[in-house]
Amino acid sequence: MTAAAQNELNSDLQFGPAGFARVVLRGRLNARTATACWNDLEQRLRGVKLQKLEVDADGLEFCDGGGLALLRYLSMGLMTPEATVSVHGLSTGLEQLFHGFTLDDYKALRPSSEVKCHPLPEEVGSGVRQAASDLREQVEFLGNVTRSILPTVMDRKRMRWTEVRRVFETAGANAVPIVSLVSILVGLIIAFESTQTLAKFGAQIYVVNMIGIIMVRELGPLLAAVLLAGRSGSAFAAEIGTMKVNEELDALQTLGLDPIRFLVVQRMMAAVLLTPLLAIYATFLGVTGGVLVAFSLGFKWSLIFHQLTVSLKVSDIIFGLSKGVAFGVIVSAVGCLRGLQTQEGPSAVGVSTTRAVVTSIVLIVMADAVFSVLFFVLKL
Amino acid sequence: MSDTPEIIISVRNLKVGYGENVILQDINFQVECGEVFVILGGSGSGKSTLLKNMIGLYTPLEGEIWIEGTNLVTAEGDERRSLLRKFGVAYQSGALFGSMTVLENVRLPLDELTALPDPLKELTALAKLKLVGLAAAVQKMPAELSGGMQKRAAIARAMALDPRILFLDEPSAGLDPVTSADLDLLITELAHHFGITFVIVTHELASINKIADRVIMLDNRKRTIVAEGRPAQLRDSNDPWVHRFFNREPDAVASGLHL
Repeated sequence: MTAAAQNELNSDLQFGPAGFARVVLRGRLNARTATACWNDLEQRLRGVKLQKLEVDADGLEFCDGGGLALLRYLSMGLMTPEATVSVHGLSTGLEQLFHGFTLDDYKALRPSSEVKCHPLPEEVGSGVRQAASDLREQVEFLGNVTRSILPTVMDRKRMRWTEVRRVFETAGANAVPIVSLVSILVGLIIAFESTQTLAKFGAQIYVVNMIGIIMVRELGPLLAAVLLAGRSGSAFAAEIGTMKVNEELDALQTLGLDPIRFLVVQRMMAAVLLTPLLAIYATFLGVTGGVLVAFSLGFKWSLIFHQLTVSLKVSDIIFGLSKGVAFGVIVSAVGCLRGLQTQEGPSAVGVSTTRAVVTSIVLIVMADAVFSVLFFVLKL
Repeated sequence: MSDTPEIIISVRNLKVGYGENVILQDINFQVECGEVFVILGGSGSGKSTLLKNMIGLYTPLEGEIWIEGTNLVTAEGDERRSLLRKFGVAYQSGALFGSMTVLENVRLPLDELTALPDPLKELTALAKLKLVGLAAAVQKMPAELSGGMQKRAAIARAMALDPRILFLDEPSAGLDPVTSADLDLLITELAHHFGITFVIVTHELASINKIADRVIMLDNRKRTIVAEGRPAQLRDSNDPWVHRFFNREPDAVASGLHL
């Protein structure tokens, strides 16, 4: 026992004849002294064949929950499985408390440490079923939204344009600084990295052509959409998810208001109008980053501008913009759907938010691939 | 018991609020060891704010809160930590950790703050849960429990380290009369058998009459304590607001109904 614990509790273990032992406890039995005493007894009683163990608690001045646990542990025979154990000398109040929790209670309440293990086919099956039902829900949701969007937009009273304006501001205007920073840096990095390879062929000026096409056709809309998913798709899921947890969605329904008309249409409307704008902005800054690199290599402004105009066609810009619209639909629809799907419980909103961002990004990249194939076939 | 009861909490000249906004001032009271002390008041009277100052979550604007001879307002470092371990708090919503089972919730303070061997931690936690009548729910997640069970689990967790004082925030809010009465019984038993001092924030008249040894009453218009004493004394009070509260009479002016 440690010295500090010894000052508070005096425990004495005596061995008698014929497998008899006696523990005398005097002083204060609290969480700290009980720990020291338990370690001490464990060491000295391990492997000893005992018939009978007597615990004398007559000299205890104080005993807390941890101390009681030690007395119970001893009396349940958990330390000396073969011996019969008796505890004497507890004060009346303590005695009552001591008998309030018995070995039967312990056996009944002890959690089992078995971990349930499902066979592989079962796991795969349930995974596929879940994925299928998720897909079905997404399609259903998209159908619902498509059905509601026109009547809601046409009905000026129901549309709640102020809400659209609010989303436009939080998801769009407030995102400008971060979109600027990320796009200009991505433009700079790509241009800078590729000039080193292009220099080997003496084709450094083509970095402008390259950054123009990359940014307008691919990265501009993609960056805008990924940032929108991270900033606003997650916010949609969290807002609507919190409303669901707080029974606000139930309240809407009992008032006869459809959550899709009331909450989803506005957010999708704002996102669809917003994403192409953000995409144009991201493209412009990304190209600026590339142009800055070209300028720092010593090329003239007029040459850089000429290269840009010959490499880009109007169809490229249309291509980029149409992607922006599609990505806006994906991010807002997924964010709202995940919000509406929020389950109950404390971590539910967090789960919805994560799922919104992950699903959005996966779908954005998939849609991007589909667009590339489509435009290749259409020879745009 | 001796004639002069031991004072366990002493609140002196306390002024609480948020920044410029003073919610309560001139708060003075003492809590005796082993009593059930109730802080009473209407909605918005600052009961919960007072409680949050008393448990050290907020810092009061002025004044002192002495708990077992240490001033909570100025205590820092180890002194503050050892003071915090002298009391347990059960929050209004239970505040159980949603990702852990009920047993793990009760074990958490034992795991983090004591060096007890594992079997003893488990025994202690199980015994506390049986004490509050939750033997059947040890393996459940908090979300699976009813409101009353969550509050019991919160009390078990607050009791895990055998504190001398338990603070309860609205223990019977939102419970049916039977569950609420069960909880009252649990509180009285814990107070009488284990000498735990209770400081309870509530506005449930039925349970105040059953459990409270002493009551202070707060009023948001006067922003201070308007009455102090045993429940029976307050019931016969001459103060119109206290009288109205204890006799459930409506405040026609405040309610806006001029019929």
